[in-house]
Amino acid sequence: MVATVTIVEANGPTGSPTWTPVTTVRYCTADTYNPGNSYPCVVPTSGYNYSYWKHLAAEFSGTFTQLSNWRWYGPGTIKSTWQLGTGGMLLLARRDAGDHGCPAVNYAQATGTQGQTGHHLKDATNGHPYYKTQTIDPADADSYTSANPFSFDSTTYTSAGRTKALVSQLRIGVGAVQGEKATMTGTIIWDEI
Amino acid sequence: MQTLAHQTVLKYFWARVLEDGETAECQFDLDTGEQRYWYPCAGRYTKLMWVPFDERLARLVAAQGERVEVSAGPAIEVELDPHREHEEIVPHPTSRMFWGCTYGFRREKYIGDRPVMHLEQHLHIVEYVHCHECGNDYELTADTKSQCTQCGASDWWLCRRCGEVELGQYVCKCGNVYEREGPYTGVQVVCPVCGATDMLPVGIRKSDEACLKLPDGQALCKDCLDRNMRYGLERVVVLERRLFSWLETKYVAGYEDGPELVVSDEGIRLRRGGGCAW
Repeated sequence: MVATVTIVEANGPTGSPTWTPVTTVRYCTADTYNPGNSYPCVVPTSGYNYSYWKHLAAEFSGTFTQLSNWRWYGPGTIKSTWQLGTGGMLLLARRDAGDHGCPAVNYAQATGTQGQTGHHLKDATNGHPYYKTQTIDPADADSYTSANPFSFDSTTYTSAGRTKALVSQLRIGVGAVQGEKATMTGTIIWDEI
Repeated sequence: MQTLAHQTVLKYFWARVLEDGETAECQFDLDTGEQRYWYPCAGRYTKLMWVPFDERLARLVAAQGERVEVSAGPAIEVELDPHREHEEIVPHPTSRMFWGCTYGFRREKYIGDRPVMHLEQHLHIVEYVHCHECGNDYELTADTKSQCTQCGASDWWLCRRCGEVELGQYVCKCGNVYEREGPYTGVQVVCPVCGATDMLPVGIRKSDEACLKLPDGQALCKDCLDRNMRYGLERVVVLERRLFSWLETKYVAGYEDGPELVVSDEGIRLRRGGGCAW
């Protein structure tokens, strides 16, 4: 059989996360994969507020020779469509060297002030341990479209498993427009033989 | 809820012709439908093909657990030159470089085009809205985010203190339409015509002018506003957001450092190469 692939999100304690097939990808201010209408992101009066960061990965099984070249892309218009305010954007965590994706062993639970703001990925104290000491800053997701996707895992997989996680976070700036937002399409892409 | 696991519906299978120009290998055993892995062959290739399934092979392959679609389309072929000379720069371990590098680079030659052949899988993820009033499913855009595109329904907001507060017009199940008077302390609404006490999903629309708009976007019901109380609102979800994801498969064939043919539902496209070679 060719590969069967499911997108999963990690939540829960560092060291023992739970990977759940995603039913929605909603950025919120709690460590939950499906918050419904609870824990909405809050527009700041100054500086930035953040969503809790998300770990998304692809789980695969079936019969295949190999799966490789894992990338992500969006429409390139997220911050304008979602009206995220001054400096607001969807952030993609990056590493100075090697894959940008986060290995499962480096998963870190998203933290912050629930219902208010998450901690910034690169917060010196409370940031994501796998990214906060990196020189490079998280990328603007709008820079990555189908013509220029964001590579998060260069591993070649030859048996069932899970990719490294794409770690992302919403940054909301002053002047962001409150309210429900139109949906955006995100795409994970890989090569299979 | 839709199935969250995605499996490719195959429309083509790979085939390759080896250096002798006659020997061909393909993804599925033509007699049993059993899948073969793609491993680089010992020699070189003269042709790569994505071949559409005929009914017979589709049945055999489906019996092995694959999802297959028969296609009447032509086979997609890419010819390779097994004798062409190529040069490439490769990292090469060395201990001679006086500044201590462990790797140098060397220009090397190889013979024959290197094939690029794989499925390029695009898993798209997007939300849509399901209306519980009329069952309509629709895409959420800036224009459609608060009201159903078919019946005009929207989410309701109930006052947490009152349990249910109606502002403006109230529509009873009996069809009577009337303006309800305060105070808004009860949890039931009594229709003055039929006396029904249905707990209809009336309540507050955040867009109602009667609601107080706070700086953070919250709204209060009129009675709470009159009493200078802030109990917040409970949302009654009529328009539920659901996830939709679908797998788009593209069939790629080409050769390293050259263009690639990409076959998809949108057609056949020639693009600059960039894939890894076998």
